[in-house]
Amino acid sequence: MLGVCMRYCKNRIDAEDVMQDGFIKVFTQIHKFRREGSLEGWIKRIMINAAIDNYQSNLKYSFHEDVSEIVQSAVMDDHPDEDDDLADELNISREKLMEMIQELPDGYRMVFNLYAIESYNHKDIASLLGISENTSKTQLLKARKALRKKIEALLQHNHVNRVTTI
Amino acid sequence: MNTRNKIDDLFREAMTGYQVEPSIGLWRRIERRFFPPSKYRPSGLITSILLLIVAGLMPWILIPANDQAEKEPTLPAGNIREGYLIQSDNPEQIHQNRNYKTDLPERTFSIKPVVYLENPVDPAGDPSAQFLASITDPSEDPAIFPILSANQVDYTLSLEREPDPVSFYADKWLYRMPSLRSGLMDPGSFSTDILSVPHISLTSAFSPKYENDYFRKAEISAGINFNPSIVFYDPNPYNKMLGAEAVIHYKISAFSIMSGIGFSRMEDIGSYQVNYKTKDSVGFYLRVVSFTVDPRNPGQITYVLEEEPIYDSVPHYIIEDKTNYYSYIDIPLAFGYTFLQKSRVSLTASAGVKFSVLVDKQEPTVDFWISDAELIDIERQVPARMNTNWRFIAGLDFGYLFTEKFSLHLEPVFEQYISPVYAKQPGYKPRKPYVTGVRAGIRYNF
Repeated sequence: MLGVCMRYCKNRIDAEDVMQDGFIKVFTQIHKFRREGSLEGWIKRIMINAAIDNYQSNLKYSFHEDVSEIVQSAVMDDHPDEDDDLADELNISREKLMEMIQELPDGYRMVFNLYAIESYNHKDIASLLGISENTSKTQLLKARKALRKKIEALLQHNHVNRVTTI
Repeated sequence: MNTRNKIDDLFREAMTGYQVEPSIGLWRRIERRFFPPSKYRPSGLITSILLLIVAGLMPWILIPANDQAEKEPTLPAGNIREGYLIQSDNPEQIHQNRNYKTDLPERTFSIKPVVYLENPVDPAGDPSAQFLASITDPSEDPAIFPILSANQVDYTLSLEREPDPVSFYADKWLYRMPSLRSGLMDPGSFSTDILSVPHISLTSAFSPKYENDYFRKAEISAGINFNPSIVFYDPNPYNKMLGAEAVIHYKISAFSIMSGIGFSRMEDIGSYQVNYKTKDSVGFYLRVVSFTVDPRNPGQITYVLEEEPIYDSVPHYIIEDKTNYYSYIDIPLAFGYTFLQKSRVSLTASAGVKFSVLVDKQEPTVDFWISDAELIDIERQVPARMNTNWRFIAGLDFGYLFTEKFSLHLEPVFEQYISPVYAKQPGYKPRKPYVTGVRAGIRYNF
């Protein structure tokens, strides 16, 4: 579960704080577990909620929402083929990928995790984070772009002969 | 349904099942948060109260029911007289014999001074013909013979001889004497000098409420005690204290004074605030990646912006708790009053003071376990201990004399610090914890 918490936090210390809060909730709410799903999944949801609570309680900067920026970002992200090419030849460790997620700004990280990894839709994400769906979409696109950039930087650092344009 | 994206897939596949081992400190913090140490434990207080109640009930639990007759007698109506009670050691084998012909095997007697009613409301039997005693040979009995010698006029001696071909001493002697009640002898009937039994006054016969010959002898005693206790700090939670002491008691009547020397070792929580800082993302700024100028409208510039996270050194802190140990030399001084002393048991209430000198302390250092952070400093939250302390002590001692010289003692005790246990520290209120525990020990009565 610490792996889940680390994805939502900027560092291990915060992740352990979140996991601590999550476990307290697990212990105190265990009677509410209905066995409708797996216990692991139930605990994971609690950890995610704890991460969201932690994010919202420490929110220093609200989402920067600008329609023109959304359009701009959406246009810039409209190159799925490049992602295919990029991902196909990657051999990056899980630890490095975790670092990339953690290095994302808080809002990017939250939305990317919820959408890309937990498979929430934008409507649910907007509800969970208290933002609009458009903001959720913007944050997701920016997160993908930032991650793609980090991956490319890593590849360049490793002298991979590849020319990409973002 | 989410739109499929390779970046998403890459991270989803990598992060699915990705496990990271939590630190030991995390489990410790979870345990502490979920099972926080309570600064108030009712069970400790309840246990102390129950011990006090049990100790108070012990005399009634241990003393056999027939001993209840030893409670304070009530003076009967009528004229009280002093006299002597002459009893056989086997009274069940002695039978009244109005015809003076009963063959009685007993021959031993005890004589002791008593008080009795001159005119009993319900006299047992005929006062003019009460049986006194029997003996096989008067010359062998040191007690009855002088009586017979001095009071021949009042006695009727008859010898009922049973045929015994072997020994003359198988013959039985039966003595009779006039008395007011069975077994009671009017002192006017004979000389107390001859009897050589101690005189007992009417006052002393009734005044002792709970006589105990064992305890009456024990005026000086020495003992060793083991003293497990719980110290209730504020705001720190309760902690254990173990102590042992050697004490001397000096008792005058029901009052006693106790002193000695002891050693105690107590725990306390040492809280430390660990200040550290980490490089955290505190926000972002918008970086201009490129811009374009619309040739058709030169006044309109379109910027392409990127967010760049801003990192800064952010201070954090955690509270680390350590268990400290402090050792003391204790000197108690207490005064007691024995308000119940019956048979082999006693109950004594005591109160006094205890002076303690700190002789050793063990305060473990805090280990800074966060690897990717920079330690700023460690602040001690709990002030340092005082080197000396005064405590008020009170207890209720239950004693059980299991031999004439040795007695076992169990005493629920309460102690209240008179002086603060911590040194003065700005912003920290002086704390005077209290202690509940049990003092158990053995005592030798000189």
